[in-house]
Amino acid sequence: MSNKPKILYVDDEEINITVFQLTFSKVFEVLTADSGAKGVEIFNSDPDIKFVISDMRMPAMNGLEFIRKIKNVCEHIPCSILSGYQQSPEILSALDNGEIVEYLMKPFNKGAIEELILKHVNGVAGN
Amino acid sequence: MENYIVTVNILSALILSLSAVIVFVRLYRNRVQYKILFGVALLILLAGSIINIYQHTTVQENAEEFEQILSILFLPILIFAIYESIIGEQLRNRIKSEQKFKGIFDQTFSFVGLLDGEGRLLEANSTACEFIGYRKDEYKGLLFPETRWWKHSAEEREKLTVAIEKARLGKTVRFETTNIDKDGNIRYIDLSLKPIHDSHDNLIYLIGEGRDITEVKSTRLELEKHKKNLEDIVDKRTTELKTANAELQIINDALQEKNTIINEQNSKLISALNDLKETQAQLFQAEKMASLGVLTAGVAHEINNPLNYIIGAYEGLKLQGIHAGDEDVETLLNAIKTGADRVTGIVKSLNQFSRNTPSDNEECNIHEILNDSLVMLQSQLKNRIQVHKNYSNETFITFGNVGNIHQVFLNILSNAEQAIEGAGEIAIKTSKKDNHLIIAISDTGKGIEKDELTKITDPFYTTKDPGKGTGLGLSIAFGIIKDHGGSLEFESEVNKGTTVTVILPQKGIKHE
Repeated sequence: MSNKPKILYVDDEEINITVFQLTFSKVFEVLTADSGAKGVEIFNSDPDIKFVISDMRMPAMNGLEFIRKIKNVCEHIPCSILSGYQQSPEILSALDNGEIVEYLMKPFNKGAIEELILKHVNGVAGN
Repeated sequence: MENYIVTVNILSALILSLSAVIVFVRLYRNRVQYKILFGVALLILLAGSIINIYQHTTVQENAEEFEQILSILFLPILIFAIYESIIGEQLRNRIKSEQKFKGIFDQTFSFVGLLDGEGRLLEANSTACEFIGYRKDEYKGLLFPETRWWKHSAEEREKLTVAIEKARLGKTVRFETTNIDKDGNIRYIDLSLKPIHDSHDNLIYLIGEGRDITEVKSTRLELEKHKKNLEDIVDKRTTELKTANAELQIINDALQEKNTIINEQNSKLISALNDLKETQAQLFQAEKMASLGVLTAGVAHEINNPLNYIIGAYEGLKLQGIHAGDEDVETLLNAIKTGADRVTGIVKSLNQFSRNTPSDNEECNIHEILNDSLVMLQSQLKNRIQVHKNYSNETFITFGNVGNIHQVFLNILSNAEQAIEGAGEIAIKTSKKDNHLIIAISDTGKGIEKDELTKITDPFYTTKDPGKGTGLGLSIAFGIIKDHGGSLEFESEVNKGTTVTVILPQKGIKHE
């Protein structure tokens, strides 16, 4: 068991997953999935996941739909969207009703993401 | 001597016989009393003559005596015949005449009455009597107004009394009155009174004559009624015509009014059509912008993903410290970082313009928006136009629609750039005054004519070459600034340049 907080990153683009994992593996234990369905599966099988970051635009299930699915299982898990798209009305309402804690834009800002995750992970007791 | 007498007697007897024959023949044709007497007288005379002849031809002693008796009889009969022929005939003629006049008097259709000088009724003809049912002489001696013909009306009686007075003074009076008949019906009478004077000019009678004019009168009344009816009908028809005319006039007026309304509506329709055309053009533009927005958003996403892992990879390489001690590697890594950052900036700016949120409550950092716009115009400005920024040091923020405000400044800066042919300068100065943000953008371009300056915010107004401008940019910008409670001002001098000043209220966050 590592002491690093466990996070889940979902993106349909393999190279994004790779770079994300390489970038943050020193700080977090990064679990990844290349679709919402797989993300739900991994989330359900690992109760230690403390934070979820997802791409927005993915085939079959988009980021918000995926987040709603896991929130059905665990209501308090902090989630965020990391997307190349600008904010849309759908994202704004998700921010308003607390479905996501932050909307992050690609290209990602390493420091900002670390800060965000640490803030939320230290604030909550666990999954 | 004796023969001579006999001859004379025979002649006399012959003449007498002839006369008697003639008289009796006449008597046969016209049996009048005196002719009989005359005939008898002639017969007696003839008998005397025959006796005389006999006396003188034969001896007859007592013949003289017969002759004397006959002479005595002859004379009275002759005298009586003469009387009969003269007086009796006259008397009979008078009676006949009287009967004739009486007949005329009685049988005429008119009412005729004879009054004495005092106005008493002496005679009335049978037409008049039958009319009221008077028996003979029943009325005699009554004052005419007190007879039954007048008993129905005091008024008519008074009229009659006055008329009698006038007639007594010698005038012929004629007037229209009414009488009542035996059945109680009122009849209209045309009555005249004429005075009759004797040879000494004394009034002896008044002749009253009345004609029943009820039929005439009622015909006249009927005629008058018909005339009145006709007049009424004509009046009614005239009134109806007038009414119809007035109604037509009203309808006509209403039609004209409606026509005016239709004309007004027509011109409203025309202007609405023009508005629609303008709106359609604006919609085209908006749709174009929206499509552009979708496109840029898609493009941005597609660029952001590779940027994501380029920068991620750069960060990773840097963390691994592969550049340590190698200046060339560090330079190359920095080049990657600089290029990626530049692309990031452009994509970010692009995203600002394609924002499609309907919000009017976003934070608009004007300085950032101006910089975004300049990034967008970089390729046009580069190496040709110098941009001088003179930004206020204070926070320069208002709230509104970020995408729209971007559109406004991109449009103004783009116009400034297009106004400059060849090299030139654009100056941007921001300042605050009375809670308003003032952004002045000046160029050294060709300027705008004074009379055109008022038209530049009109839709479709453009001075650009066909295909280069829609004439909508400033119109849309003007609309956006107005929506944000601000205003646009223009100053220009031909060949010197133009200054566009945007004034926006410094709004706080709207609490919805």
